[in-house]
Amino acid sequence: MWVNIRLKHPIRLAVLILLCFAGYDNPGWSQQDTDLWNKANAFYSHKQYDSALVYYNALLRDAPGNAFLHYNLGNTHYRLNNVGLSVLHYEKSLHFDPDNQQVRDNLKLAKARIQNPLPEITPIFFVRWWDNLLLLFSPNAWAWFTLLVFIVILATIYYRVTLKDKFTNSGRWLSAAIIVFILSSLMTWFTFDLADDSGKAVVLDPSATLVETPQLSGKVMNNIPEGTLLEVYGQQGSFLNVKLPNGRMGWVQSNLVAKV
Amino acid sequence: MIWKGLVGSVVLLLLHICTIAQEIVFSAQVNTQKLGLKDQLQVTYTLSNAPGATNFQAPSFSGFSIVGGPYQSNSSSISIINGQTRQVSSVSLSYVLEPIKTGSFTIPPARVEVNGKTVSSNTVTVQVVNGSLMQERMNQRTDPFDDDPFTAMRRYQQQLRQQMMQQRGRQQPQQANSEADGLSEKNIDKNIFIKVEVDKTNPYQGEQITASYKLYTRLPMSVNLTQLPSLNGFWSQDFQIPNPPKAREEIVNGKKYQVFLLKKSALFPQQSGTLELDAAKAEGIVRVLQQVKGHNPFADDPFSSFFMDDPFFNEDAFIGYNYKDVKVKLSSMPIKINVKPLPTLNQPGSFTGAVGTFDVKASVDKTILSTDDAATLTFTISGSGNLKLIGNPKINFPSELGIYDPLITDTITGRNPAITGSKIFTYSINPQTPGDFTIPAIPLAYYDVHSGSYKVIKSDPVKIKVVAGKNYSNTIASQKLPGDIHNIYTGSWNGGSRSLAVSHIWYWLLYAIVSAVLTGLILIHRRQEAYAENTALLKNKKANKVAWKRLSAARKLLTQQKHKEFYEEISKAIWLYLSDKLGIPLAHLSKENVALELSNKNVPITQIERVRSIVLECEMALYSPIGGQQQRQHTLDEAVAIISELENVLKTKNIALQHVG
Repeated sequence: MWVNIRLKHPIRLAVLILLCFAGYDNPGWSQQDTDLWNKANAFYSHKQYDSALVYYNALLRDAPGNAFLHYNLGNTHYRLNNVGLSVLHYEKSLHFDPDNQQVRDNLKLAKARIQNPLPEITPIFFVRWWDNLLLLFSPNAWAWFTLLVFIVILATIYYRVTLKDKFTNSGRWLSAAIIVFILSSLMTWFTFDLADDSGKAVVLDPSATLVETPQLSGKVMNNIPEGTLLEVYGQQGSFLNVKLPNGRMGWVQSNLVAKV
Repeated sequence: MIWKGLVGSVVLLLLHICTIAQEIVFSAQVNTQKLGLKDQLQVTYTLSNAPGATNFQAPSFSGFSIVGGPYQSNSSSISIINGQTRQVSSVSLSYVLEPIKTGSFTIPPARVEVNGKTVSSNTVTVQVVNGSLMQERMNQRTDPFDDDPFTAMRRYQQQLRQQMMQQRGRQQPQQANSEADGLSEKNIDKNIFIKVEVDKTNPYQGEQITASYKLYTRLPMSVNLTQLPSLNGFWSQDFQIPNPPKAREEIVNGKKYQVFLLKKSALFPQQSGTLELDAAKAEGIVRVLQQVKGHNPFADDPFSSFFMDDPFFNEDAFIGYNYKDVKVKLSSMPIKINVKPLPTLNQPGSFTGAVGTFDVKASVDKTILSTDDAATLTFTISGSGNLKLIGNPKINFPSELGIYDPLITDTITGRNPAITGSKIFTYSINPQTPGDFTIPAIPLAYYDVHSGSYKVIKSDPVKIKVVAGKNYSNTIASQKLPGDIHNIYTGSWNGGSRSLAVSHIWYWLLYAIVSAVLTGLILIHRRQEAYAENTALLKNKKANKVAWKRLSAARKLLTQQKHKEFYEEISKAIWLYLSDKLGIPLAHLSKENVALELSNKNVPITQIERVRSIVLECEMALYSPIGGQQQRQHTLDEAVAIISELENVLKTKNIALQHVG
């Protein structure tokens, strides 16, 4: 009898521990930041976008990863007709909060303002699937799922030890759980990697050009309009190795773009 | 109009030449060999190298009437050939004639006396037919579709020149005396000028004014327009002017002028303030008359002496005018137009600059269409006024219809005198969402100059039904761009950034904790198991001893004759022994499961049977004590014997099992 009671115990314990740590997830914020936020929003609603921008930028120092802040910044830059910065902040907002449809709509509008935009090619289906899979759950969701699977594995081991012959097919269950655990760990890693560095950059300078070699004298292959989203593959000196939306690869001066 | 009149033209030519050793040439030329009854003929007599020529006798122009002339012109040229200087001077006289009847006519030679000799000119034969040949030729030369203004202007000038020649010729006989003075060179600017006429000089912004550039002349001339007015600040719409040009007669200050319309435009001021109609400029040659009578223009001309003596030139009817070509530059006076701004009071919101009187109409080419289709909405403004200056109407289209900027077509249909026509806004409709839509009534506000007020007219609303097309799906519909960005997030500040669990140590500590908990649990479980096993083993070991104790107690009870207690003791000894040995709690034991359990442990059937019988006997004896002392002694021995035997059997089995394990 007491064995059953004991089995529930570790789960309860885990839940308790998780609850404890959940509080830690929301770090405190200062009253000052709240004031800045309210002021900036007020300026924005009075169409004083310059002033709003100053306050939003002040907040950005404290909270560089706040999706809403980037969203509002994107709107402000959109109103000020800074196409590049507007796209950059919308992309950042989406980077931190990929499910926000409002941000997607506004990003679409901001991109419509790009002068002579490059044509976008849609990637092959499995690349699209992979991207969607990565966006499906946040790295935190994957991390907690991995932990859960780990607990399931331990529970399976425990039952196997205690119930012995009564727990039939315990080996199958255990190996299935371990496979899920490995996959989930990998997904955690990939999503974490993506969250850490989106691998994208936005062109902020209308004079940016795509050059063949990472040199100032490199042969110009393409003009890149302001606001274009680039995929970054590497860096060499002051040049980034990038891929344009139209699929061309080349180098671009890193001071003309901003990483998302 | 001039062409309809019959004009003939005759040139008399007189010349006197004093250059020695020059051949005298006296010739007659006509401008055409064949002419219509309504045409004019110009005959020119030229006398070269004949100084001192006198007594010019014009032939009798039978079949013609003289309508103009003689006009005299002098020319001379000097050429040096092989070191010899040659001077050629010539005098020509021309007459303008009108035929009286049809037929073939020979104009007889004219005569002139040179140094006492009479010289005759050649004869000229012309044919006169019905109608007007000149008109036809003129028409052939005029390309009505040629819209190059300067080419047209050149031709126009040629025509003007000819007409003026003719016109002058016709007028000459009647007006020669009275007008001769006024037509001299010094009065040239009174006799030819360009005048601009406007019907209003104080219009509203956008109100039509009509400007006419007119050439007034009393002189024959050949003038080319060199600069058309640029009309800055106006939207101008040119009126068609007759081609070939027609002269009208206009009397200014009691003098009759021929008036040619150079340019007539409807002008719509585009801004308020003072605007200037800049000058139209023309350059050319004007033929001014010089009267010979009474004062000889050739007084100091050594070749002109014959005019003095010539009775022909002394006759009043044939006053000896000669003409002189004078270069002129004509320019109209700029005219200032004060444009009044439109009143801002009561200006409707839908006003986009229309001034005049208009009507509006809106229509679509289909009222039912699918999302794959496109339709066209046509908004037509028709009427008179500044059509071209009307801005796009402000229409609140339903955004689902996908209507963007219109295509604008201006059509001018009438200019009599107000510019009338239509302005058509063509909107392409590309619906994205099915449903019933209404294009609202489209208002047009315009300023009516006559009533001095703004008026608003509206088209009828148009209903459109959109059905889903083949390619329609909700995803496509949702992909369309919203009109404006969504507003900012105005919720409360939620602090810093999202933190990633993986990047915190506590996340990894959780794995350690969970693993530790599991290890602990397994260890505890193991210990419990080991303990349970140990107690069973102990009981098994002690079972024999306990049984023996109970049996010895039973032996005492047998001697004491306590039968009931005796059987109880025996029963307990056997049950407790079985319980311990089989590891089954006492409460769960029964005869049946004991037998089953014993047979599982490979205890022989006979012994199981003996256990059953002794247990049964004890139970029976407990309730009905029967049998004597001997019977009880036997039961005791039997119990001792069966426990010993079971002990042997179970022990060996245990050892055997342990060996196998």
